[in-house]
Amino acid sequence: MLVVVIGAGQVGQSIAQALQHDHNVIVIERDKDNLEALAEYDVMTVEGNGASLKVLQEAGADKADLVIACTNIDEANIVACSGSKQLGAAFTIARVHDTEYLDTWERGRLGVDFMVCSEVLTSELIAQIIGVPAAREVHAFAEGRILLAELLIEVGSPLVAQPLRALELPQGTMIASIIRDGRVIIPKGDDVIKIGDLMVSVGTPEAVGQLNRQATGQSTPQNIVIIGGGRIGFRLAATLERQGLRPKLIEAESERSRWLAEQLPRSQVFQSSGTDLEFLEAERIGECEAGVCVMDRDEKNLLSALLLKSLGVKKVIAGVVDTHLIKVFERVGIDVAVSARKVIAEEIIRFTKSRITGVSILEGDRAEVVEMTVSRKSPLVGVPLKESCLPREAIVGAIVRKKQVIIPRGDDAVQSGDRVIIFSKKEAASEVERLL
Amino acid sequence: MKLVVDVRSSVHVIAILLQWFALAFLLPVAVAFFYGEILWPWLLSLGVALLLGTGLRVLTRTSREIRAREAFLVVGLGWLLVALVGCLPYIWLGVLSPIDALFESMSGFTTTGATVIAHIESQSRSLLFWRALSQWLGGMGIIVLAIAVLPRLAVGGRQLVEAEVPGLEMERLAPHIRDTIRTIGKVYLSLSLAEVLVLLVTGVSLYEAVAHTFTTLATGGFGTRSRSIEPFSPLTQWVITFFMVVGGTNFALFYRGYRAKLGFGSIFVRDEEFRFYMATLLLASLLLFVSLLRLYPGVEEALRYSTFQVVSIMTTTGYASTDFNEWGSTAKLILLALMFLGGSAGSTAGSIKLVRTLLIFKLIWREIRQLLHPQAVIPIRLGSRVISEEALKGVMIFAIVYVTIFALGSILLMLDLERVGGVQVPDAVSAVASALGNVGPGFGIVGPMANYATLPETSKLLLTALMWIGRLEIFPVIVLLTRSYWRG
Repeated sequence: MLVVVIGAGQVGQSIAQALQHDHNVIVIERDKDNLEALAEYDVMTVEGNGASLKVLQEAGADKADLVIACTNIDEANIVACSGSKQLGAAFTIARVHDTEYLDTWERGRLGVDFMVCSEVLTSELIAQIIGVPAAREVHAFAEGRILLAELLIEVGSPLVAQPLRALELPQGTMIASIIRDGRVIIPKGDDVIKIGDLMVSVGTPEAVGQLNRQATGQSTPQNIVIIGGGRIGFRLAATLERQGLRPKLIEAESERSRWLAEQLPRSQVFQSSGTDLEFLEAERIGECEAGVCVMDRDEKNLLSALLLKSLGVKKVIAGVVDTHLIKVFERVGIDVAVSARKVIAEEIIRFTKSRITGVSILEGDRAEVVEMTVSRKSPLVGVPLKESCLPREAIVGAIVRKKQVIIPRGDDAVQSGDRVIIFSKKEAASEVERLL
Repeated sequence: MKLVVDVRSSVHVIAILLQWFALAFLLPVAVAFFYGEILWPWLLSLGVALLLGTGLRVLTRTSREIRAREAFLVVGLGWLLVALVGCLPYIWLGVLSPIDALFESMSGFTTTGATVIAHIESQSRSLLFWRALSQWLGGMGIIVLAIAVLPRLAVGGRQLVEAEVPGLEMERLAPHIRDTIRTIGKVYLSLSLAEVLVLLVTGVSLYEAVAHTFTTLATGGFGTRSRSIEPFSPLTQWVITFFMVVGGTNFALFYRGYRAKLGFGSIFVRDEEFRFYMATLLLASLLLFVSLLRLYPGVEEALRYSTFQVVSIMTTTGYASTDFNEWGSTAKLILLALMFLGGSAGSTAGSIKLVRTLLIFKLIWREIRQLLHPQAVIPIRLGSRVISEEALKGVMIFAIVYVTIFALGSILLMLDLERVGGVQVPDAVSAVASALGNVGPGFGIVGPMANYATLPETSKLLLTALMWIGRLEIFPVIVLLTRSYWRG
């Protein structure tokens, strides 16, 4: 596959590194230093502006199977993608920071086939890290209204050793699958969960959290503090609000804090710095169960994360701009360091490997979760699920009808226009997509 | 001395307004003709309005458009002139002296409903119809109505509407202010039609149904009987209660409810001011109900009287279904407090208005929270909409100025009444609160079954001015009294 990567910053470099062996990679970059850094990888480089048609043509974007625009500038990435599309590129991916572009893209496409937003991904990742503590892996669907979580069942779990139909699960969630010794099982009522299984549950964020608490005894933290009201801090607070939490959000800049308070009706916004000890003590920030430091500078994040830790916050997550510092952060005592650049590079790499929108790959590639809209012609429409022609290796985990989330039982039926989240084994995946 | 206000173009707009206003006299002419009553005062009033309007229009011929500054003059002076022209029939029919006539006319157009006419039943039908009509027109707003009808006014319309309907920003239902007004106008007309029909069904005569519809939806309070709503059946009283509540509701809600996909009610339930309106009505009715239980043997009776009076006073209508002046002090205090609440913004009700009260409560609550969390940033919301600090400041200042004017007005009125003697402080206070809030009746000598006729003329003039100031929500009038308004 011919892959053209535009922008060779930390994100571009990670992508180039990951794809160099399996694909032919050409990197376009303006900055000489960054080009030199690419010398260690097995990729071709082109110097110039990736938003220029001439440069794109020179790099062979017209024949490319995939164009990934991942410079630091949102607009340049969008222009580069739509230019490449015009030239004849098969598939384009743009990286953006600003979620507004994501909304525009969802309606207008803009010549971009797939858009990844680092703020959204990072904030969702952090929310998952705090929200469902015991989960191995969490995927969000339907704008975060539905979660799919993988949970390792350990000794002491009250769910084991009884048939599934005897379990009292929280309203709004279902067990979509059990993964045992690498095998994916779509469970029936008389199946039994064993210790060491991975339980895959689907449902509303509240219900999934509740199910995971039930399964392990661990609880979702209620009291969360976010320091830094930038894009990630804002998105994170919004995500937590959707899960029914009321995070504390601390922002130093006065106008920004006012804006945040206006946008986030359920969060408690404070105007202060993350290092004002008197303030942190007065507001008893130390009693928070989780703290997230996502300001714009690594030093500030580190200092305030250490401060939170010393005040007694149980779990502290810090944002890192420079990906090289992740290990350093975790070395000095920060529980988790999250880098937006790393997150986005991983997402692009993962996407390049799967190439279908709305699909999450679980357990290597043994199972996948598809989020799709049901077409009018689908043979599933109007037929109760237990009588439908859906393969036995697949299960409908959730239905989003208008704004309502439905966790279906056998008697429920999908309607055209519904968005469904379907969990299926790999062998049934293409069959499922055909049916919808 | 050089004026910065374009008086010429302001007067020009007022002249157009008067020309249009002259047409309003056609309705009482028709009523007088139908019932065979005396016609010439109506035709003469029509002539005067038309002549004055046309004369001024020709004299001030101009093509200049009015700006925000002129809008205050147009609105302030316009209302005064309309009240002046509107009082002519009372004088020419020999019913009232000039000052009494002005009081009655201003009380009509401002939808106050305070009267100086002692024997209402003995008045001609055309006159009582005019009284009611003046409230119906004033409820919607003289200027607002003019913009809806006159193409000439559509251009500077926004400034005019902002001067006439001040306070919080007017809710736009269409990009053009004129279309918004027309939409609201259609709501007003439809609701009026509905009330006339329902009143007819409950057995009220067509004439009284129309007259009471005019003064219910406008939250005015003029009636066709001396004892207000008391002579009507309990069912009719409940119907009127319902339509008073409607009159105190934001009219934009009816339009949005009609257009809403989720059903009519959803819009109302989701509107925070409406919820506050309902909660306040229920709470106040309950309080009054409890305090009335000892006075009335029947529960239905006590419930009807308390609900009716709470709704009537809070929506600033001013009807009475019984002589509440005979109730105890607690009941009267509740009613006095309600005079300061008023109805919703965007309704025909007067006074401070619920949305302001609600925002002030929220400001108080924020102040308390801010004491505990000095660095918390707490915006104030109405529903999901954030209210700017600027607008909140406006709300607070309005409330302070309103109460200040109430206090000063009360002192002035008491001072004036002491010359005559025999008037008690609560009566004077209630009269001022009632006039400023465009409610209507007060207590004691100005109680619901009495009238304002016995007051000295100076007191009547003071109350007339308060009604005018209250209807225009204070600032458009006050600004005309400042030096910097005229000289820049």
